[in-house]
Amino acid sequence: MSSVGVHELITFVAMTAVFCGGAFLFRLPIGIAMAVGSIVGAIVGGYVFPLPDLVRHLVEGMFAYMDPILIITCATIFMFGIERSGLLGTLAHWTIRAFRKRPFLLLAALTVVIMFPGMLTGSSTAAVLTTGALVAPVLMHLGVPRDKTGAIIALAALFGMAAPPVNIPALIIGAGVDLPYIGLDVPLLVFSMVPALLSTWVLGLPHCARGAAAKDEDLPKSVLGKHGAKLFLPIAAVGALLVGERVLPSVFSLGLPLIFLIGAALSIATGEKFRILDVSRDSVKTALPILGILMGVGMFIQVMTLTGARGEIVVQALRLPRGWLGLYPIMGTSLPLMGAVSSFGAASVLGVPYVLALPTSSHEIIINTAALSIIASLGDLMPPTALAGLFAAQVVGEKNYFRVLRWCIVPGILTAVFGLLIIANADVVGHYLVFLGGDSP
Amino acid sequence: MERRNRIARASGLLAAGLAIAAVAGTRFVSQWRSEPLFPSPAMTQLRMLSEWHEPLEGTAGDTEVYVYDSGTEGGTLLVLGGTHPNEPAAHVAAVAMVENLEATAGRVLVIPRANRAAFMHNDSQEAMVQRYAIETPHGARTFRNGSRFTNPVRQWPDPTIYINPRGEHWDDYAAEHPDHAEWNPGPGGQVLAGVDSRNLNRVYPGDPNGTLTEQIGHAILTMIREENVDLAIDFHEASPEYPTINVMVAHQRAEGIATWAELLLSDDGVQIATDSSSPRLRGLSHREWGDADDVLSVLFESANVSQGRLKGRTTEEQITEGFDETYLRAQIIQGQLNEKLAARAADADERGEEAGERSRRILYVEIPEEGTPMGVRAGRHITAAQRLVEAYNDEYFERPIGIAGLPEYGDLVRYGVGPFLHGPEGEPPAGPPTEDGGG
Repeated sequence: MSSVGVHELITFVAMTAVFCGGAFLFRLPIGIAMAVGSIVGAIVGGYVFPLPDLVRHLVEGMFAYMDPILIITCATIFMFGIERSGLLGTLAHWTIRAFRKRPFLLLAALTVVIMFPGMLTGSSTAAVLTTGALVAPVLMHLGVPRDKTGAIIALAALFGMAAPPVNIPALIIGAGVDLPYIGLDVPLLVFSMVPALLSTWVLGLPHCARGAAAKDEDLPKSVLGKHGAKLFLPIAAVGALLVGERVLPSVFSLGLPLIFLIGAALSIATGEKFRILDVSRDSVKTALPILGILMGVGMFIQVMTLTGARGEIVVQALRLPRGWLGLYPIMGTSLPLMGAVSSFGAASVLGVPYVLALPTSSHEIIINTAALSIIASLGDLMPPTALAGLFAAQVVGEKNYFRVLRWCIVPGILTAVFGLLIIANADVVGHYLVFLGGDSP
Repeated sequence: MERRNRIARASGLLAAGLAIAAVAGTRFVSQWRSEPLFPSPAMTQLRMLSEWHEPLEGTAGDTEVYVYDSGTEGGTLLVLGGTHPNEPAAHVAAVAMVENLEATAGRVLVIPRANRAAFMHNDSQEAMVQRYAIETPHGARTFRNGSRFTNPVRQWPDPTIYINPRGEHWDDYAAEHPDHAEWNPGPGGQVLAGVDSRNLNRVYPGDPNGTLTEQIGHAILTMIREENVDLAIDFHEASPEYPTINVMVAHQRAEGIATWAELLLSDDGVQIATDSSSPRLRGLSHREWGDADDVLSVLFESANVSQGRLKGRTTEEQITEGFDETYLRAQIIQGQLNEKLAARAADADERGEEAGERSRRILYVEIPEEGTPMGVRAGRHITAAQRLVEAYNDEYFERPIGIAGLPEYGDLVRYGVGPFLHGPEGEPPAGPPTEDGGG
């Protein structure tokens, strides 16, 4: 018996080729191209009949992203709402006035602000569409170009998703190897904050001189004087509910979609007047292509699993010994690549076997899980989904999200290398960063 | 004209969408129907889980509890199958017990569909078959292959993270083990991914006012307490790349009888290990049942290729025959890799250098070329349960539990589980073929 599944790999190549051809040659929307690729995968894999079964698989795959789709839709309505109410402009106005002479500190503070919702929700999308949207006008008025602003937001949101206390890829990997979510906070904080701050400074600092010299009248308009402190109510409410959900889950367990809708509803009555129906329609129109991509991706993964292509890829990824000429580069590339379809999926499908392929002493397994979760999170920068990049492009008003993503390439690669360096030295790193009480696991 | 075209196009798309929804919806809804089970004549009572937690009555979480009362004094055994309906041998083993069991001392309670709401759907992106058939001498019996999680139609949405309920027993435990106190942090208990809020084996001790899954967990623990269950077994399967496999995971108080059962099982030709339940991992049956009550709690795991990350093309044979080519390939790759690592390590040793990785386990069980059929996997559960009861009786002879009527491991391996199930119309189990070919 061969150690390579030829039929499975041919199926995967056929699916990918049809998707790429559809998206780039025939200019189909990405979600549709993925759906066509999925159907071709099912044909090549021999799963067309019985037809109702295939339909069931395609629809079942789409439902993988039911919750993210609701979150994205509601968060987009919230973002449009606070933009139309004048809250975004006002915040930008006052932040720039207060901090424009200290860009180094300002950029660090803005990075943490962008990261914050991601830290609480484990979702880069939530970070981009909330505090990312708040920070975008600030950065652009400081002089950071639109595409680099998008990159800063995408990267900070992604590292926010990877930072403690909620890192869902780490939770997923931990669940797969019976590792309790204990002792991960310090390593995750260090591994996420270092690349987050460095990325923002490197991308943003060279452009901040212009912002320091900007005149007050060139700044975004503040409507604080007109509406008073109630203007901030939507963002305060969303922040309080996000924190409440984490601190007192039994009381505040509303779920992200409802939290964002509450914020959007408050924005109607607390600032400039706007029609909520217009905002809802514009939001859905903006989010629709992204929702289509998620559905297409869901089908694609389902058909990959159905035809054995997913299992084959995982098996082949495990065939090399540990080391820089073996498993490490495979981990550094396959996790983000599979993250292109879902970083959570990559954590589950590849992250778990990778952790088991690495040393599993109590300290090393924690460090390896943390590092792999950071690498898996990079999947949120991988096209075609590239959720962090896609929404960051949207909040800065950049139509082509590849213009944002190109600035993420070097930080992304360096982060993957950083993660692999941590894994290669997990015993030493663990000695300094892992603090476990009681007996070891 | 343009407007009419747009309307026509939109109508066409809508019709296509409705047709797809109808086809897929029919398939999804078909999985809500429970297949009939045919309890053995020795069953004395059919109860419902809601009898121990009334709010479950009429919900998707209510499930059958088959009671076998010997009428003699003794202990009480509880057996759970279907905690995770994507682990089919764990379900089929419990069904085979329901359909063959006789209690000869004390009482036996069997719940073959512990999380009934998780039988009602499949996990998205896992591309599972919805059903599988087991051939009996009277025809094929069909069982549903479900999900690890409660159907989101019955419990939704998931929280971002899930903190499982912290039972009142935790404070007593932490007082006894002060150095373990921080293992159950936060306002509740263990911090888990949000989806685990629908995982029955992460929600114990449950919550009477909590989610549907937490209420199921609460009801099961209440039953254990109120029925004075002495020994409780939770059947499971795991993917071959998961380290906890072909084991009995025993609460500390049950480790003695599990180790004794392990020895007894080696005489049956069943290789199984005993793992100690970790006090750090909260929410699991073997942990919380044993901490909350004086029950001896043990969880069994067998190897299932249909649920793993390495699984190949989706087929019914993955479930019934335990056969999967991709897992076989993984085994070949593991062999090739370990040869390479051993050669590298030998070279390094010769040069007096650090060798690094010397071997790797991609899989934690051997994958036989012919597969690990349902009979073998369900047989491990049924036989391990019998030997565990024997080991229990040796130590707790003042509250004996007697079970009889169950198929032998050798017969299950040889003939599969089919002859030990009722036929599709309720025909009694044929039993192993006799020499003249009869049942």
